[in-house]
Amino acid sequence: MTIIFFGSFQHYSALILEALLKNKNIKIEAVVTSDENNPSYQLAQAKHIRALSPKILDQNFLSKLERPDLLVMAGYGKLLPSNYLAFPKIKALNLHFSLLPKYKGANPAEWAILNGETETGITLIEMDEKFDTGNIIFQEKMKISAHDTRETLYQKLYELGATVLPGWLKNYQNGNFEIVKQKNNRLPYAKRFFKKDSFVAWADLFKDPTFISRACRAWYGFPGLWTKIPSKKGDKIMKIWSCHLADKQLILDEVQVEGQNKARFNQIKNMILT
Amino acid sequence: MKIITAPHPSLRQKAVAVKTVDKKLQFFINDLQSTLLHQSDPPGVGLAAPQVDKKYRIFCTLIAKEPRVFINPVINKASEAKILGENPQDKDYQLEGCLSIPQIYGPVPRSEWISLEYDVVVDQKLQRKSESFSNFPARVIQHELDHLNGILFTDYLLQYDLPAYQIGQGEKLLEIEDRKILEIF
Repeated sequence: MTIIFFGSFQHYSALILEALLKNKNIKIEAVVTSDENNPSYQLAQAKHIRALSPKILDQNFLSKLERPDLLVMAGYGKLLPSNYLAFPKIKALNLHFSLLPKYKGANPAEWAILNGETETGITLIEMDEKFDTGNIIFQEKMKISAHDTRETLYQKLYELGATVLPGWLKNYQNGNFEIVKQKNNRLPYAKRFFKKDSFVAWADLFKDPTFISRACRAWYGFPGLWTKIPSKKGDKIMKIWSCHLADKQLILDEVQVEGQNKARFNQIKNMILT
Repeated sequence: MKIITAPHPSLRQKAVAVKTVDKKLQFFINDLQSTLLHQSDPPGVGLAAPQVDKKYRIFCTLIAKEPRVFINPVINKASEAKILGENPQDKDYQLEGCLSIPQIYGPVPRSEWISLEYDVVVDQKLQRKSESFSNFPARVIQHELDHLNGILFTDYLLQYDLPAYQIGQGEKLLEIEDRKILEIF
């Protein structure tokens, strides 16, 4: 089976690509990423597979490609135009990192952690012209631990995807599946978080410890939970890298004040004016 | 229960926090939920205690067929970004309406996502929860929470000079030209 792979999500997409490359039934025709520095792009080059990073997904770019059996997307982050969806001989498929129809959208692992979900998973869908609304083909559940950050959770989800996707694609090609249509689009939606979303005022930081402890893990690395602490030299930005709950109280562990290295909160707390 | 409609002084009062759970409160919550569930013309997605003339800080929602109750809700984080509807590219973005303001609709800027703390009843006691919402559910919760503070969605139409619509002939939405009606709510 021939596949064109679309994936740009840091090193995570490359985990999936690697698993597809190892499978003897699959031939990757080309790999499409957002930019040339992407691990998926570099993995493709190392394996002498065509690697491409188009700025615009137009007909001109499409005409440079051979029609594959499947177009497979995992963490590409952009919608494909309808001529791209119709391009593969069988179908364009997307691997999404939640249990659809819940948490459609760009930040599914972040939202699952933020809402204290104890399980999430991965879903293979037939792609359509909107984000994550296509027919569900296969789904696999996975536990979320109380310590998972978005980074550890995406790692586990993509590793799970790497394990099951080659088998799913084979079953899909052989017609061993049943479609489940997605009905509801008003379930929790995983909208993308930005830097301005992850700011919490110092005065509000200890109001809802449950939210803060989840937010710290949900936004770990990016956009990163941050606040501004009052110091003798004025307000300073402080990133919160880790924290925990003790008797429902919020305890800050690792923090980073602007212009400084990471430190234990206890080491820097004297600089905060009260 | 009967849903009261604007103008009514109870819709402008601040509701009072629920401290204890007793039979009376549980009956009230059941009643509030079934009142919302039985709205069909038009159906509703949320109903707050002040809308049935009770001063509790309670509202219930009915989104994606799932009935939920929120007691003593507090928004402790709201995105700076406000939106008029789920899909701003869509021209007929989500217009808000209200069971207490029949026939009137309008676009309301709401935070795109919120983080909410609220109580639920577990074993006849209040238990605090924390949950985040985006898009449509976030909009419904912000609308209902406003009711607990005596705020109506039409206040925003006046504050931001946004259009108000009324259902005219053939279910068509017509812009209301005489906005004095909004001021008496």
